[in-house]
Amino acid sequence: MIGLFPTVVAVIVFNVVLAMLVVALRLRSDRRERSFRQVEARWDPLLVRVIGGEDVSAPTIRPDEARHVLVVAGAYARCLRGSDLDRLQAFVEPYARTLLPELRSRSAEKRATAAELLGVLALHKCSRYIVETLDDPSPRVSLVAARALSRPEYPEHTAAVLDRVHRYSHWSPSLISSMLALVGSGAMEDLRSYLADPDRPSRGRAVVAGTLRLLRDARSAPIAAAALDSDNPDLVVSSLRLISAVGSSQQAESVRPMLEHDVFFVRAEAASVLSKIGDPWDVDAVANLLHGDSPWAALRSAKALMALGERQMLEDLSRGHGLASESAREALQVELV
Amino acid sequence: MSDMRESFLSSLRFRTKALEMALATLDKGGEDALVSIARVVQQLDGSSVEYGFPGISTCARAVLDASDEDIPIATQELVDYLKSVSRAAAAVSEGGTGVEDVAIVESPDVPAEESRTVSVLHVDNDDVVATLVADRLSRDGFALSHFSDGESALAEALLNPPDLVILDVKIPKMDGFELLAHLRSSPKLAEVPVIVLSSMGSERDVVRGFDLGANDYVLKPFSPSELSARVQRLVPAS
Repeated sequence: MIGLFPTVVAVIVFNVVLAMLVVALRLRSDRRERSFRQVEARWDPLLVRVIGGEDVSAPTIRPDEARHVLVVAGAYARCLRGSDLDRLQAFVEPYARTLLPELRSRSAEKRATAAELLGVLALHKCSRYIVETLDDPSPRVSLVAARALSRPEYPEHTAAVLDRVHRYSHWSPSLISSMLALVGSGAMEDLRSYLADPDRPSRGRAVVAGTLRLLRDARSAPIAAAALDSDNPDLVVSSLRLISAVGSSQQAESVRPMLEHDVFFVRAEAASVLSKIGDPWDVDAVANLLHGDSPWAALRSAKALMALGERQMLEDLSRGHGLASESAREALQVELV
Repeated sequence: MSDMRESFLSSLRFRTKALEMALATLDKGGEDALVSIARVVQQLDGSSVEYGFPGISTCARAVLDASDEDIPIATQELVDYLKSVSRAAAAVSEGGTGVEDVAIVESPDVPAEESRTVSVLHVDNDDVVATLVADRLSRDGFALSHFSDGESALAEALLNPPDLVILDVKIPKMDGFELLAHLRSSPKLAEVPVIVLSSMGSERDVVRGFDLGANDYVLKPFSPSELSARVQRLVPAS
């Protein structure tokens, strides 16, 4: 019994220390929150007046509140563009450099926040630091920097972002494609070169093909046709979708062999593409997929046949049994809906 | 019709509650409450100007100015004024008393008979966007009312048809496209110009907006100055 006493005391002391720690952390968090609210209450109306074009004789932002003011300004900057944004940026720009040390913080979250805020508030002054942040050890921070740089006003940073696209493999390819598409037409040359380069990572090329599809770049159709030689099915599918969006019958010759690809979703996509850019004599090859082993490829084939005007063939098929008949019925049903 | 009124009043009750909470903080010397009060009062001003609250924006501006000048607490006169606004809004939200009861809160500085300003109803659940739109349009002479969900905005529009509606697509309870369809199907509101202000910028979304009867489609991020110019084109401010 006596032997247990020190253990009980130790547990009690540990719990008391833990409770004190929790209270201290809570107090610190409350103090920070209160401080932020005070800065927000003081600066929020003033920033709105600055955005509105008022000639504001603002008090100088104190160094200890600069970060909070930049956070408040960042919330507005994300919603703005044009001259309203220019006014806000001009107002807070002298203080943006106070965020630079945070780009070297030990906390990845702080580094990401700093990169994002610098991106929306002072990109033209701090782009060098944000480009450096692309090589941050954390892929998330790097992605935040890439997002900050992916702006139509700064297409010159596209190449730097593309060089790091392979780092963003944890994120959805469509997310990265959309991000790159934000740059717009200024990025076309870099994007085409990337897709055309077989030495680039296949995943990155698939992402770029998605971007070119979003940008509807007709000049990339032959590049996508060449990329169909890749061993990577994701790149092949992404290239097929690009051809489907911007291609023509000139790419049909490259697409046809994909109907016999080993991977079922490549075959399915190829059927779909040929229904748009193919010729009437592609019907037989597309119809062959109805009798394959993949229900998905069969369904896409049936829909492709419908698009090619083969309704009668599908109606005849739909009266039977098996995968081909089911796919035909499904395609006819979709058409009815 | 009574459902619409009830929906409007529920939003009014919510704002009244927010105002009372902010006032309670102010009584304790809470500096932060100034901005909260200004925001709530501005919202009240916008949404209930037809209910007899002229002059509230003057009060809101006074609160904002006090905040700018770093005055830790508003004058007693201002506090009394805000309390009477709160009481009057609560009286309206009870449903029984109506417009006459709130005449007491009219600011003596503001004439009861003003030249009619163009009313704009703005629907967006993003406070930052709401602030930017309210600031720009009020500077340009429009009377703005703000709602953060589609249902209460529709209720307000049916009760007090605005001269123009600005709406976001992703809003709670009833999305912007649905709200737009309701506006266009109402004989009272079918001709009211509508501007969609949304981050949904795909071709499909924009075409859908115009198909449903939008007069303009502005993408976020946006320029409040440009938005105001588009509003001016559709309904010139008086």
